[in-house]
Amino acid sequence: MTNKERMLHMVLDDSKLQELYDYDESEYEDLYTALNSDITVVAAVARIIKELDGATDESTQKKVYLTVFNYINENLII
Amino acid sequence: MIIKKIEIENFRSYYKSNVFEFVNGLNLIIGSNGDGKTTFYEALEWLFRTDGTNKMDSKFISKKRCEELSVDEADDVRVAMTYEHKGYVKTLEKSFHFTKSFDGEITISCPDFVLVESNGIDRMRRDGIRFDYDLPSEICKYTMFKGESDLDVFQNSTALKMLVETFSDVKDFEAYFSFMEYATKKAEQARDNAQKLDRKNSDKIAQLKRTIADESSLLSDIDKEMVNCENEVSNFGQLLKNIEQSKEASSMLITVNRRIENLKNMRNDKKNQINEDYTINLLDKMWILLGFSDIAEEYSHKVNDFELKRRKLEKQYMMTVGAEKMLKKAQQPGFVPLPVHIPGPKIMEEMLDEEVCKICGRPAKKHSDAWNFMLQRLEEFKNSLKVNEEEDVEPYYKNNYIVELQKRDTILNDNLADITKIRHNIQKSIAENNRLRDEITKIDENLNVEIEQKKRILAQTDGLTEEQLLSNFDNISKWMEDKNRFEQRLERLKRERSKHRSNLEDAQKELDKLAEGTSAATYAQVSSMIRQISAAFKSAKETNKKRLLHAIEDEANLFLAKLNSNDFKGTIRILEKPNGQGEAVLMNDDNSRIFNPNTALRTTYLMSVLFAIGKLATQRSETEYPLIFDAPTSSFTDAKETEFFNVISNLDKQVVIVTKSFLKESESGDIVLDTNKINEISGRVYRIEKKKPFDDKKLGTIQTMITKIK
Repeated sequence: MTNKERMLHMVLDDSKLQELYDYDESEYEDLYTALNSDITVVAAVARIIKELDGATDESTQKKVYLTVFNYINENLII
Repeated sequence: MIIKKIEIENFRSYYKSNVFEFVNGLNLIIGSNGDGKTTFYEALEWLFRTDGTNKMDSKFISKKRCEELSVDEADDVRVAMTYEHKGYVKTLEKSFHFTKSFDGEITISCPDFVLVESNGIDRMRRDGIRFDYDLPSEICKYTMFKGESDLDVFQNSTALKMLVETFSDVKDFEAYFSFMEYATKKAEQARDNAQKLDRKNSDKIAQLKRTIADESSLLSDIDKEMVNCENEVSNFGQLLKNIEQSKEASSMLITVNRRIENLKNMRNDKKNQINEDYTINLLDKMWILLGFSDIAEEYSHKVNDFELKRRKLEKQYMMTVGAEKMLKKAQQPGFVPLPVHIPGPKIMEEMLDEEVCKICGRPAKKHSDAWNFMLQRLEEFKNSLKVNEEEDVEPYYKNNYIVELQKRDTILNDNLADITKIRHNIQKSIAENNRLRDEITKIDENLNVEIEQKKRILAQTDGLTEEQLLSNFDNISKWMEDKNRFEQRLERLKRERSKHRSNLEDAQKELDKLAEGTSAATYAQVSSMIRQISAAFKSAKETNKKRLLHAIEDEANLFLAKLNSNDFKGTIRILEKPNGQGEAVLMNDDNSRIFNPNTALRTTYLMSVLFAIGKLATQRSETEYPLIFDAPTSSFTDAKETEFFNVISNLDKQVVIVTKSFLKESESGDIVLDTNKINEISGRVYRIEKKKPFDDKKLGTIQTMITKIK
């Protein structure tokens, strides 16, 4: 298991997030599965982890933010 | 990474080339004081330095080699380590050149630091700093330890942070945490911008935004104050813990001091009661007379003798005087004369004047016999009227000296009775003084016991002075109050934080709700989700840290159980202080902290933490790292030491220990290896010692000899 996958599990393991968005963390063993999840929050977390890749510079942050924002915006069921 | 070989050449006491070949397990380098143990450790420290500093230093050069060099002759200081790492055999080598000039000066040059890699076919020569890839500096920190005091990795304030960054399950959390703050802020900005178009709810939105800003500001202030309070609670807690360690000693010290004070007061009282004014009493209370009873008796005898003699002489004298008087009386005429007062004086004077005797009627011419007779009779009468001095006998003793002496004798005899009383008083006084002195001796004995007790208490308080101990004790109530005050404040702040968080959340929800049915609805939902994801990352970061600490604790406790199989060991806990610093502590089964473990237990629990970190490092990097210790067991008893080395030798880990254990004094007084103990452990053993003979005042004669024992 990669560092990103371990991080994904740890973030998705958050009980409040699970309660709010009603998903089963154990269904997402790897980043690929999470990226393709129907549950927006799971896919958003996976995108953040995949796209940021540990970078701390603002341009990467901006790029990842836009990606995630657009993804959520497009997939959010109001 | 497994160390195969270490070569040390002309490095301080290591003269010319010296080679240690190591096994993957326990490797012992045994030497006495001054035999080169620490030099071995320092040679490795120099070799592992990859930051480019201290490449060459003349103090590293073997003095012996320097002295034997001829003019213009040169040699090298060189430390090399051959190790196996991920299938490659590599040699890390650091060296520099030294040359002796014509005036005997040593010049150093040509520093070299290389890493030679070999995969069995090719040999590649690289810069030595690449060693950092094989033994990263953050791991190197957890591989080399000098002495027992160096074992506590958490002494370093950033150690916990480093551990989390290096060994936790998930790395780079900081970067994600930072991103989530950025993303949350941006999403909220987007929502706010979208809501600007909603004129209908503009007032409500403005009010909610103000609420959000106020609550956020309050939460920020609360967080800051909470950090301050947590630090204060931690500080006072630490002070109280320190006192806790010395509380018993402080209490005992106060009791002992009270006893000492009482005993001193008693001693002073007794001392003041002792009356030893013997010299003054000699005259003031006439104690001087005590030795004079014999003299008084002699005096009495002598006075009595004098008195007897006096009476005898006086009697003789009186008898003599009496005899003369009688004779005089006997010589008077044979008739009885008329009494002197017949005729009376008037008549006598008349007869004398008229010159006639009116008794016999005959004339008595002036100055005739008859007239003279009458005149004599008148004179006799007149004399008779006077005190008859002639009749008093002149005393034999004109002065009463002897009587005075007798009186003194009488007084002295009376005084002798008093002198007997004086003797009694003297005996009583001396007995009382002796009794008081005996009591003072007993008090002194008790005082000495208490003073020794005090010394023992002070010797066991880890360097705290008496003043500090007493002051600590005085401070307990104050610090307790302060700690409680900050704890109560912290509780209030937590409640306030919870309330304000709720307010903030409500305001944000309300804001999001206001967006429903408007063009800002999506932005509000995105913002809300990003905020929730951010909270999940924050929570995951904490979980990540806790998991690491638990993993270290679990592993460390397994090692501790092995290292203390027949001893009390407690349980290791890794705590995080409010300031973020870590602390490895030992706990009792009732969850109370063990503040003063003995040195051997402290060494083993801290080593257990190191072994646990080493194991984690191995798991994370998928490679082994050796542990190198310089004299870690100096506080161990023989039995503990043997048990310790047995456990270490059976660990599946390469450990290099430089130690003076396994040495004993032979019958001839020489320091020799304890071969029986060495046979009990498995692993590689080297003996290092100074080559004999050597001049203890001449460094140039010191050379470390190495011998492979097994």
